[in-house]
Amino acid sequence: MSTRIEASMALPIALASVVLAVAALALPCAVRAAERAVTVSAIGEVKTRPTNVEIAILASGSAELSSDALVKYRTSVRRTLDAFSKLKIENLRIDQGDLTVGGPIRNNNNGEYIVQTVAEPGGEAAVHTPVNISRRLRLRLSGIQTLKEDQLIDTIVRLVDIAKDSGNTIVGDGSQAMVTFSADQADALRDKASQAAFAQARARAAKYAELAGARLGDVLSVEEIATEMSETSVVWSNPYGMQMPGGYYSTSASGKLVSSSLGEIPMRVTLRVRFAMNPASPDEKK
Amino acid sequence: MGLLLYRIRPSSAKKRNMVLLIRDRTGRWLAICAAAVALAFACQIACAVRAQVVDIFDVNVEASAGKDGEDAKRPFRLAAQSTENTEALADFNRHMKRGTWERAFKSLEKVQGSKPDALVPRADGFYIPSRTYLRQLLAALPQDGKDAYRLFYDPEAKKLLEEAKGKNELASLTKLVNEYFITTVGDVAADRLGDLEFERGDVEQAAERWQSILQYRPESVLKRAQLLVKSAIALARAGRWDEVRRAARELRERHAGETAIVGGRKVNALSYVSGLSPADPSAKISSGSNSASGSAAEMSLPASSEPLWQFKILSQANAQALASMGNDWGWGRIPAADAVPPTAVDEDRVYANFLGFLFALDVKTGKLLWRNAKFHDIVQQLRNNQLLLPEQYGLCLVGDRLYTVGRESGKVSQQGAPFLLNCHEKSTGKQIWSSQKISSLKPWRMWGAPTASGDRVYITAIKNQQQRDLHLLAISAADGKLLWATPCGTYQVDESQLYNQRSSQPTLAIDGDRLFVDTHVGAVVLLDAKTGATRWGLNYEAEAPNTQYWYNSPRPLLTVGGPLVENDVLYVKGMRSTRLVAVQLAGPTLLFKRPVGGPAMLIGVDSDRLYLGGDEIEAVDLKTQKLLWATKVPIATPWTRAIMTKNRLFQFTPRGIFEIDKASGDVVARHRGGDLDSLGGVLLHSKQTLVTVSNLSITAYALQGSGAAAGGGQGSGAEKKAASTDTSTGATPAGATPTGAAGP
Repeated sequence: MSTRIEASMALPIALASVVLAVAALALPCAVRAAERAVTVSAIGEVKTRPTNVEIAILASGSAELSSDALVKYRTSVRRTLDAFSKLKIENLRIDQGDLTVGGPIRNNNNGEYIVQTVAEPGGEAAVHTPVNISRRLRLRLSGIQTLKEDQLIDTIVRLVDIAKDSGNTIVGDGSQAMVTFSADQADALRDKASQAAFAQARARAAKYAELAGARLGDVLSVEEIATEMSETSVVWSNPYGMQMPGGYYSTSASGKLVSSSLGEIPMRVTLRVRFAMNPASPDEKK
Repeated sequence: MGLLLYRIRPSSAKKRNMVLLIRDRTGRWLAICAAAVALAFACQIACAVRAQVVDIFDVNVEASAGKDGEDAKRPFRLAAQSTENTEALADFNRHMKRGTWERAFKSLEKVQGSKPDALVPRADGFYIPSRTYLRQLLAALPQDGKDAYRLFYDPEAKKLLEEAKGKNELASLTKLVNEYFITTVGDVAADRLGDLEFERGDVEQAAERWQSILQYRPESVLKRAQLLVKSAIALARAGRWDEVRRAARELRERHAGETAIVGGRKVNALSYVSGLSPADPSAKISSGSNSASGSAAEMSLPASSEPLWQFKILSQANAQALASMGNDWGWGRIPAADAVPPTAVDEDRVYANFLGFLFALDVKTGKLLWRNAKFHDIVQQLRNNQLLLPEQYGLCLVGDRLYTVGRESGKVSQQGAPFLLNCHEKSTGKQIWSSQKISSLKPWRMWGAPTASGDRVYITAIKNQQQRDLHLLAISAADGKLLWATPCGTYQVDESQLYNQRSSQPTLAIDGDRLFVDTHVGAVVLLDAKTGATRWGLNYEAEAPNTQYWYNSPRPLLTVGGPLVENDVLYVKGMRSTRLVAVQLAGPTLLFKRPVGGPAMLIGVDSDRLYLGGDEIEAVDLKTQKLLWATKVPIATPWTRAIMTKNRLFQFTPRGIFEIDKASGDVVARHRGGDLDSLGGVLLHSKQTLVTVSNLSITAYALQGSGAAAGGGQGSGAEKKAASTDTSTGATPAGATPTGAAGP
């Protein structure tokens, strides 16, 4: 029995030995290949003017009696929408967010107003806890690049006034800012910034290769590195609703650039690219 | 017992006998128990009907103990009766249910002999004086109870009626009515007593006598139509028009065509009473300065944002220093930084009480007419006092007098300095009297806004060393002497020690001889404005102030308004309560209690709607108690007071004056005005001028169509320029600024 087992194991052991031997021979080659590569980082930046102004308002009704909360909520939304429609501003669109029904609205100390959706503990306090019905209304004034700055400021001030007079809370759209400026087609801008970063990386790598007396080869790897852009509070909202490093938030809205100030919004892409370095031909060496 | 008997284990020869004895005894015991149970069951059934009749008066010791437990948690406890009386009433209840009337009435004698004003908790939550309670209790007895009562007490009552002649008439009748009202002669005695009191001018008391016959002696032989006419005349004299109309309604529905004798003439009862009511009875409620305004004449907001004049109470620097003062102490913003001074306006002047500094401004020009002291260094003075209690300053304008509440001038910085009531000539500011100098008022610390009616000033107060016991004082307007003081109840928390939030400032309302006190901490009391006798009290849900304070912990928005009376219904919304309470005054009975927002405050009430202010302006349907509409308005200070007109509501917010349609709740106009740095506050309406009072300024605007010199508003270049304070003559008052600089 044991003889049969030994016989059956002989073939795999032999194969494994061959593989190990090949691997051992290949290792020095790989080290040599790694030595003939160059890694560079490059930042590509593209700037654009914002195309939209955005203001987020929380229209809500809160009361101990749910029927009261509903009356308050409905009148709040109706009056808010009426007030903005009376302005008759072209390109002003109001998107209604999802309806939330829950407990009291609280500031989460991070500039955000959240509805407490978890029920209070039981007892009398729970009975008297107000019901809050709320909906986020997003005002979006588009095409602002065509307006003069004075015109734009006038319009923004009117919107803010209406929002404040409505008695609703201006909640910011995920940031501390009351008004945010955004640019459309951020995906295209990102592509441009990526292209610029890559071109820059290639150029730089070519120089290093030349200095090394080699010729720039194929791209071995590309790595995108998160870029901090704190000086302008720019937020990259990707289309996947992913949280970006650096404390910025993102939404599920398709890619847009958001800034809290009116000015050019930079889009930066940082890449780390690894190129192979091939031996230079004799002509090149000369 | 049975179990104990079975545990006996005799071991001797007597065992058998013992067992037999035990069995025998056990059988007897079981029989006794069964009989007792059957008897109790029978009694239960026999008393069931009676118990239903007197359910509202059901008092038992256990329930009382429970209520006492609840009372201990209440932020304010009404001045209730002694435990002895509660027990006596419980005894009465027990005996009454058994039908042992002699014992039942014996136990009531204890209550009759006690203080007549001590309040007794009724099963429906009202606290009423023991005397009234007893009357209602006896009137609600079943017929056999009434018969028994008459059997015991008719002789005494008839004797008193015979003695009611000449000098003794009033005293004998009063005793008879108070103690033996349900005897066979009680109704006749009450009728005669009403006549006597009416002749003496005590119309409220007279009306109550006649109404008590109507209410509690339905079997009386006295003609109801006659009693209704009599009580309607008395109520008309007292100015209680809602009740006059109710009497007319009852005559129309039940006694149409019946006659009554008035002044020796036979008249048609309905026609006579209908003729008593004025065509358009004006609002009768007079309130302290910190309560909501009643209905004012219709007005349109000023066409121009440019004020007629503006008086800066605090300079920008002082306002900032005051706002940051609390931060220096680690408290956050202190209440004094948000406070709007109590103010009043007449056709000539605006009067203000800024932390005890009194001043009057010309309503047309804003010129400072008089002041009792300079206050340019006010913020420096305030730094030394963390217990500022700005809410306890008050002002009330009646006739040519100004009644103010505040600390002694120069003592604003003195922690614990008492609040005084002072009377001033409104034209000069000259002090006529001060509670500080009147011996009967010296022990009192004023605690609330004053109100005045006729020759009296009413104010709530606490005593030195007894700062939790609230009293209502009636003071002679002529000389400041104390007429009477009635205890209202006791605070759970010593509110004079609240520094981080607004303390409760009781507010008053007068309707004829009825004086309502809302403590704003869960209790409202009705007193007789003439005698100070408590008619009833009612607890409502409210929170006690939180004395645990964390650095920069958020303060609740505590607004103060009301109480209000309309159509013989009292409306109350306490500052620490989330309940709107309506009480039908006839009874009294609780009409409804509904949840409202904590920051809501009473603005006003009309025939079918009630309006609430605060962070949301709301209308509530009085019939269905449904919320009809709610309009959010910006709010930055709880010291706000709206104006209600026939069709509109006006509220002064940090973003200007909002004009709201009473029917729909829609904001029909906004007037930004010239005080946009402020937190908003109080609106005052004087003939052709609208005055706003904020934490920073007093600002006047010419109302549309007033013809006053309105300023050149934005885009209204053709309009006249602002008639600012008289700078050309160098008469600009301290603190006043030319209006041109104040616009948005």
